[in-house]
Amino acid sequence: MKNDGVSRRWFIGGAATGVVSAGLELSGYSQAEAAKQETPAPEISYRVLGRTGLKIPLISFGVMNSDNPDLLRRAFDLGLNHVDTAHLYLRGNSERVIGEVVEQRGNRDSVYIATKMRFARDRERHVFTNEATAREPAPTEENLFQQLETSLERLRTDYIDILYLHSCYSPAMATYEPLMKALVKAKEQGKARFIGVSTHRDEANVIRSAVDAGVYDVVLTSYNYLQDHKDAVGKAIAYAAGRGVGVVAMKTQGGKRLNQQEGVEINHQAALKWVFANPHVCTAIPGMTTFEQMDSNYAVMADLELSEAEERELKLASLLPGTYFCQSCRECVPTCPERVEIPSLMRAYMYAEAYGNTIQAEETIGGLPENRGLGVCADCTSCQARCRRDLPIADRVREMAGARWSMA
Amino acid sequence: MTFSTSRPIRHAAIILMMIAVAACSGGDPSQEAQGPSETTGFALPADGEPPGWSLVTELEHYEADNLWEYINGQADFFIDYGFVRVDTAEYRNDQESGSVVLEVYRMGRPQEAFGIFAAERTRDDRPLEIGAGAYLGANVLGFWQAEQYVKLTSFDEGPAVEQLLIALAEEISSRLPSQGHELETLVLFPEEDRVEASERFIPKNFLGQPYLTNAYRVGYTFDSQQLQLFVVDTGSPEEAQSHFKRLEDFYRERDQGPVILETTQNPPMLIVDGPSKMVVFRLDHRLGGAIGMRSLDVGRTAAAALAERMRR
Repeated sequence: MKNDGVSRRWFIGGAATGVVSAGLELSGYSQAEAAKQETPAPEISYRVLGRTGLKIPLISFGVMNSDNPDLLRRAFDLGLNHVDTAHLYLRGNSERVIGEVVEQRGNRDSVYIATKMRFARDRERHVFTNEATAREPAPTEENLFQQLETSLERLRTDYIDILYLHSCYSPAMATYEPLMKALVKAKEQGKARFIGVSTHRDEANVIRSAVDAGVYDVVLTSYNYLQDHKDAVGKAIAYAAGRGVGVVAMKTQGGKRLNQQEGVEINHQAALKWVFANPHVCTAIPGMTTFEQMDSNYAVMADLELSEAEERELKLASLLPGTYFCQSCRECVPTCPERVEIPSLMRAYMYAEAYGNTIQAEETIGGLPENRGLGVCADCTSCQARCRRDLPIADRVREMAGARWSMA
Repeated sequence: MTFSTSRPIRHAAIILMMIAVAACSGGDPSQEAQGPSETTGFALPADGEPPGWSLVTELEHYEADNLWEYINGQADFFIDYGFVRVDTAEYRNDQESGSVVLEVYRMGRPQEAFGIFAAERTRDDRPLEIGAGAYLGANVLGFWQAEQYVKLTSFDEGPAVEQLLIALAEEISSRLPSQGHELETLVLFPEEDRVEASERFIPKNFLGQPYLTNAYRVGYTFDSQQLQLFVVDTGSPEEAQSHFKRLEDFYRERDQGPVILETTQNPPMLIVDGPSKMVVFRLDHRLGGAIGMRSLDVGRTAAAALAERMRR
């Protein structure tokens, strides 16, 4: 180290066999060391994942972030043995970190790994399309197996416990026959123990159609107390459970964006309890990036009862969208004769008024086409746009049109 | 420039001398009104621009509220890294079959652009010198430059496609509104024995602790002994002291092995001898240390060397 004056000796030490790779550095943590470690008293509540028969803790681990493998180790120490990821997350680095930690711990037999395969889709029509893009392969058996083999290699395993069709927007996508057949084939070959679909759009219909298709073992769905359509999703979940299809919940906190909004206090434990109040939900897969979050989520399993105070908090939080937040359902757009991009304008209003971020507000407004933007509203004298959540569109648009931050 | 060659320090000390090719946005609303891409100070290439490339799809952009529609579960991770907006479109080269999807992610700060770039880099990628650092995978090229993380994904693979990706990436790089920038914290890390392309920036929740933000981490290896060194910028000596104490308390409460405060060293070092070993020190407004090693001796020595560099 002649350049920096530090001797090479500073690295000299005992031999090791740890694993280090670019971006996924793992600490030297052996199975033997793991065995020595005391695990906390088991306070885990389990539910059975439908016909799979898998007994899974209510709290599972959505693994997107590969920054800290120690969190994954901690999860395993706690007995949280179901991890969920996806083929495309961070170009496979999320799968890689799971594979490396599981191999290091030697606990593949006691861990349930779920991952997802994604294919080209028409975002307007909500169907798969054979017109593959560079980002998304065509929905063919060949491409499914290509992704699957890559994922198996990254995960350092020869089977996936739950293999999902990723992000189905519609019943048509969930029941797309070539992919269903390919998933069944993967199951028959032992490369997937169980198969399923994931969805965070039109969830109720996607769940029902997936169940009726008769081939899926599991559905992974958005489900939280903030959803306008939570009752419909809840009924679809019951429908699935009644037919032996296991249900895994995601986006249980309402989404990262909401949780980062200043002034919004989300009671995360209460949000999880709300999900688990539906007995047909087997487990949830919150993403966890701190030990604090993990411990907090873990603690939920010790007491699933929603207190009155927690219920009140959830109720209050669920009212927040009516105060500031547009849910981008886009039902307002057809009510405007000029088809103004109202959801974007409402988002701009939120940036400026809720967060005081006028730059972001300006950018949002400035990003709109002239014939769909705020300028159209400025020339309009009688706003006809209507929001099903009763956001005061006309008032907000008027305010924005006259505001310093939007017109400077 | 890249972080992955044999001289990573020089590369880490990125000082871009690129001339800004477009005025930064934000001051001129008339410009902003012309199109979404103008608001980032960068316009995705139009059809036929650059020569030989045709636009296959319409230009799209996503912001934090609808990012999940574009990248699903990855959205949370990008938001944690300061995501502001992504502009994307698909292009076709007139000479080659297949197409290329161009994505320009605008993050809040240059280090966040680097952070997301580094998080998506894999061990199989080839480093390139485009922008402030680039990787080339089988059908994807990513680079970062100022607040932008740019990703080009091709439909096909092969040497000819690689050359196309590189040419297009260089073209995009030249169009980005850049300014001189230096990730100066990375200069603090020792150069020798670095693991190639192991530099990371972790904006929040470093070591699983919500109060540890703006962390840099670099991997090292020596004779099969592996570890990572880290530096966390806390903002003030008082904050550093507070975070140091909280870390100590955390590991004492966790009770997974001896936790020792070695005050005979300068700076004093917190030694965690649990299943995951750790050495941490505090120096002015920063925390530094070593993690991921099997031998605490190696961790101590490495951390001491890092502290010595940080003193200069």
